[in-house]
Parts: sequence; structure tokens; C-alpha cells
Amino acid sequence: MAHFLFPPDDDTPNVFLNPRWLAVPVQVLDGVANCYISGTGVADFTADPPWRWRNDESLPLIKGKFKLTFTSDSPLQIGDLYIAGSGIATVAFAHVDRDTDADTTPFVLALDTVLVKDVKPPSRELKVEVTGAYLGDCWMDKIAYQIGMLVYRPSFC
Amino acid sequence: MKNLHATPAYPNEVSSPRSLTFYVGNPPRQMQIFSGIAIPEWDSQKRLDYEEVLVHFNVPAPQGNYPGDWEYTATTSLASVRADAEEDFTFATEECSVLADENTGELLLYAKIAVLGEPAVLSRFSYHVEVLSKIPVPGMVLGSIRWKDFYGDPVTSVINGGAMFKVGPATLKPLPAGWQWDAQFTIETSVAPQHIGKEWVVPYSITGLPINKALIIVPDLLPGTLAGPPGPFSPLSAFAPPFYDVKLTTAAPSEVGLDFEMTFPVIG
Repeated sequence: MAHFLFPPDDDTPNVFLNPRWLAVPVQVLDGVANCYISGTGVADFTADPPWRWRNDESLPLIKGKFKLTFTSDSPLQIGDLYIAGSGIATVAFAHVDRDTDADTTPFVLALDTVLVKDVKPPSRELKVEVTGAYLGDCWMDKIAYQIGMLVYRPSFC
Repeated sequence: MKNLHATPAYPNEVSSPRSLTFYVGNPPRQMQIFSGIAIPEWDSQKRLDYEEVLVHFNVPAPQGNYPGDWEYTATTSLASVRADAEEDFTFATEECSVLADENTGELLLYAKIAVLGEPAVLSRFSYHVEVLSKIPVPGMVLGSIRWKDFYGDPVTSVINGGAMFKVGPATLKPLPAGWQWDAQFTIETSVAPQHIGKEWVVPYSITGLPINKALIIVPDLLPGTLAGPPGPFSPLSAFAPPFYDVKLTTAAPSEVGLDFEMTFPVIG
């Protein structure tokens, strides 16, 4: 099974277009959360990934993962407590392309699942993982996202 | 019409279904957020074929009617498509709205999608829905109790979710009686304390409180729930503020932010 991973497991940073975050004071029943963080933007994965795998003439469905990692641009502040399990995210196509010069077979572009990983203090790094797939000479260059989470922010007390 | 259920029990109907509920403003109003990837698997054979999809959130709609009593925002977007590249194709998520089921009151997302191709399939679309009630939650107060961790940690049974404080409306009687709590409305905390920085925090919520009645909300530490305090602190807890005067009204039927800090005075 062919797989992809964007960005690859090296120091390649994410590229985000129009990243925006806002924090809203909230209350929850039976929980310490006092802040809802909401963010939107577009993750740029512009690339020309292989569509024939290892020169195989057959076209496999290539499954894989997009990682959205917010480190220096994390919305979490020092002292925030991320509420485990509170992450929520929506992802969708923002830019797709299809090249029919060499490939006129059926194509697939898919975003299948999305998961916001819990953040354990003192880390402030926020990670969102999106699984997807593609078939043929096509790609998902940009993925729009909307991310939300609950935190306890001491400065909101 | 396709009916899809946004619960983990139906992974082939909605992928990654998530929801959040919290309160905004004071008096607090309920806000709910829903996200997921619906899987209609809607195909076409050459024509532009429309389909209507209902995503079931498995929660009741807010009290009252739209748009007088609650409002919403909603988006639907393409998440998974496939087609034959030699043919023209169209994929569309053209309309969406949020409604309450007339019979069950369940909150629903309505989406109108379309696909054209020979063949072409709109396999998945993602959605994001925010629903805000305009009606303040009646008879509720929310707050927290905090203390510095050098006073002591909660005992194991409390860490595992046992009660640590009681909080409720109380009346101050002459000593030695002291505070007398109204058993009808007084609650015991049931959420494990959170250790944040150098503090412990326990949330509390009281519901069903009467309207237009003066109340004094008072906390108390339950015996045997704190491993401490060490000397030279007194074992008798104190709270700042010691109580909140509250009078819920029709216009402001609930309050948030009734936070207490527990301390222990130094002996001598």
C-alpha cells in the first residue's frame, strides 16, 4: 500500500495562509474550562506527489496523512491548560488540481478523518492530523481548516 | 433524502463526529458546536443529480424556535470526490441550514448537494455548525473553588471523582450552629480537581435555583478530602469571598463566575 505524509517527518514547517485565532471567555458545566479558542486558515501542501508508485504502471489508491502543526504560532499561551478531548476541527478542499496530460484514468481526492491531538502542558504545540487519499495525477494543494478547543486560561479568571 | 447519524455508532455515515457545549455571556447562553465529515456517497450518471441530506446530531434543539430563540451559522464543503477524468464533472455543496425535527425536536443539519459525471461520486462533505441559544439558562450558578497547592493535595478518592466541597444557598445561624445549607439546592462537587500551575481548581454548578429570591451562596470543604494543610496553618478552611449574595431574576436568571479561593489562616 502506497502512503504519503505531508509535511514529511523532518524539519519541514507547515505553511498556513491567513491563520486567525480568537479566544472567547466561556463557562462549562462541571469543568474548569473558561476559554474557547477558535481558529481558521488554509494549510498549504502545494506539491507534485507521485501518482505512479515506484514506476508501477498500475495506479494505486495512495492513502496518507496531513499534519497541521502549530508551534510558534500556537494559540495556546503559557499557563493554559488544554482540556483533554475538547479539540474539534473541520477540514475541506480549498484548492485541488488535476492534470490530464498523462493521466486520463479515474481520479480520487479524499479527506477522510480529522483529529485534534490533546496537548499536555507545558507543551503548547497544537497538532491536527487529517487522513486522506488520492488516485491519479491529482492533488489537494490547500486545505481549509476551522479548529476549536476548550482551555483553562488563568488570565481569564 | 439521505439520513446520516453523527455519532460514533455510525462510522460509515459520519466520520470524525465531534461536538462541544459551553456557555457564553452573563447571564449565560448555551452554545453548541458540531463538526464532522458526512458520507453521502452520492453518485451521478451523466446528469446533474441533486440530493438532500439530513445529518442527525442526536441532541435536542435549543429551547424555543428559530430564529426568535436561537440562531446558527453553518457551512458545508467538499471533502471527498471521485470521477472519470475524461468526462466533465461537477461537485457541489450548494445549500445548508440547521433545523429542529418537527416530531422529535432533534437538532439536524440539512444539506443540498449535487454531482454530475459519468460516473462521478460526491463521497464526503465536511460540515461545521454553531448554534447559540438566545434564552439564558434559568436558575443556574457556575463557578470554581481554587486553592494554593502548598495547603495540600486532594485525597485519592477525590482525585478519582469523589466529592470535595459542598456549595449552595445557606443561612447564617447564631453560633455554634453557623451556616445552615439548604439541602434542596446544595450540591457536592463531583468533578476531579485539576492541578494547574501551583493551584488546584474544582468547578461547581448549581441548577434549579429559584427566581426572585435572595440567596447567599456558600462553599464548605468536606472533612477528610484534603491531605493537609501542614503546619503552621489552621485546619479550618476559609474562603475569599466568604459568600456571594445572589438574586436571580427573570431578566438575569443565572450567573457565572462565582469563584472562591480557599485559604487556611496561620495559627498564632
